[in-house]
Amino acid sequence: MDERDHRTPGMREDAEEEVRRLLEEAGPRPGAPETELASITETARAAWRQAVERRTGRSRRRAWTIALAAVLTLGVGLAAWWALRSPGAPAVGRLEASSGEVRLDDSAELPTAGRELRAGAVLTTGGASTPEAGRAALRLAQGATLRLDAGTRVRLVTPGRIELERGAIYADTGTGGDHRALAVETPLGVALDVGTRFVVRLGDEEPGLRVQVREGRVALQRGGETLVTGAGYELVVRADGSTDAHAIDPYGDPWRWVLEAAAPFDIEGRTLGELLDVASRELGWTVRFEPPSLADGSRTVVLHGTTGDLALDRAILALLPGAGLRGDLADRVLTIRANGG
Amino acid sequence: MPPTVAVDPLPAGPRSGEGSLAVVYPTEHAEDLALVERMLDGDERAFEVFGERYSRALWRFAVSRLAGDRERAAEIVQTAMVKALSKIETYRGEASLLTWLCACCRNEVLMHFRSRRRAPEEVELGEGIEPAAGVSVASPIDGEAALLTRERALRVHLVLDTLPADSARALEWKYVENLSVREIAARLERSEKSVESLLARSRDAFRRRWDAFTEPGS
Repeated sequence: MDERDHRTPGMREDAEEEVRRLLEEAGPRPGAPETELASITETARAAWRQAVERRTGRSRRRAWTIALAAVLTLGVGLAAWWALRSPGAPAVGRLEASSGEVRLDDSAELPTAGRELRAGAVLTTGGASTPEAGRAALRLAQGATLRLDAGTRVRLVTPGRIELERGAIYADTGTGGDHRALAVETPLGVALDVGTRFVVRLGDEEPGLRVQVREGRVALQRGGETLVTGAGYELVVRADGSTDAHAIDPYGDPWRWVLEAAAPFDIEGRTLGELLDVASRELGWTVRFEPPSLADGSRTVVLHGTTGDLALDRAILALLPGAGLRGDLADRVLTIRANGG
Repeated sequence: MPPTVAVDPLPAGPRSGEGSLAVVYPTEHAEDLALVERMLDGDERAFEVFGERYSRALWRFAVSRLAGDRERAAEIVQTAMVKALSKIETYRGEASLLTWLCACCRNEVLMHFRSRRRAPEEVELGEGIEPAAGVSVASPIDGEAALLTRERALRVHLVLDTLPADSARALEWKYVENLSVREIAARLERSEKSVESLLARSRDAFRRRWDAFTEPGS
């Protein structure tokens, strides 16, 4: 032993020798997959937040019980109900864009983009049973974005907890340091994200729950069971409780509504590189410049104007000639060359 | 058992429930209970510590029970962690948190094998099978001893995983690689004095956690 190595006060020498012996016998620890472990911790983070919320909820319930016993009036419960919807309830997000029929708290008034959404808010998009279909894009206070397909009804409980009553939501919760945990509660289970982009859909014609994962992983809790599914897979929970998982195309036609429900991308003052990054993320495109050196000057081109009603894919192909470029799209690979080159 | 006030073992950081640590716990696992209490208070830093301490240890535990299947181990640990955190409020400190989490993980491993309707793969040398040249066959007693040694090594590694990274590394460098304090100080870019102090604290922490993890019933 190193002569200058301090002995812990109160620790006998034989105890120290035992530490030495145990470590010597055990040898070095084999390496562990650190990236995988970080991902595991992110999954756990969502479950932990739920545990915290459960406790907070219980504390609140205990407080209510005491209050009710003291006051002996039903008005207290009513006041709590109103408080949740009053302007004093905490903001949980903001409506970024909507199209068609989108209602807030079943009000006849249609909310406009920019409208602040408070805890307890219920958003409903028009579907097959209403005169007009609707879609909406929201940004939650913790940073995640949500898109609501037609025929959807959700309740925003907190910025990290959403209740899906019917229809489908697409969630983009970011990755790495930008990740924001989100729990989507449904009658058939709770989907916990793992820094990911995914759709949770409650079937209407075909009762059941579908969790489709574009990126990352999602853990679905139901009863005492946890099912984990990853990018490029769909997990199906049928109404009878049986489950199934199969591979899907995470950028195929069934995802088209996700793009259509997105808030419009404002190109004014943004660079072509930023727009191409959005395309990679939203459309699954791989962008290549030929020759690769063409990227240096092209990605920094600053864009002006608007793309109007053009969808993102068409908007990009329409914008490139203005920058002296042309794009050829095949199998989700966009190859950009100098115009005339 | 006389109760005592838990010592907050966590580095200073933002916390949501300031003052909520004045909780009385049984002595043995006060540190673990304090961590869980802070997590349930919504303390982000406490959760970070939980992830750092236990994700690696659980993965190592799962790999050891799955004949080295690292991919399957990651899936099982993910499920075990989510389930454990879903009921973290039920942790009462009857055993160390590492023991409690390993029990959750062990259940998941068993469920995995049950779902595949087969027992874990085990390699045995049957009677009448001649060993290859240069390979000696251990007697059953030797085999049991080797198994116990492997299990003890695993437990040492799990306990090291639950220590702060610098503490675990310092102990390994000192006792596994036999580095001097000066060499460890150079690696950690610290003074020799601070490494001496780190080693003393780390041995103490290791010993406490080892005792908690290997106590009867764990």
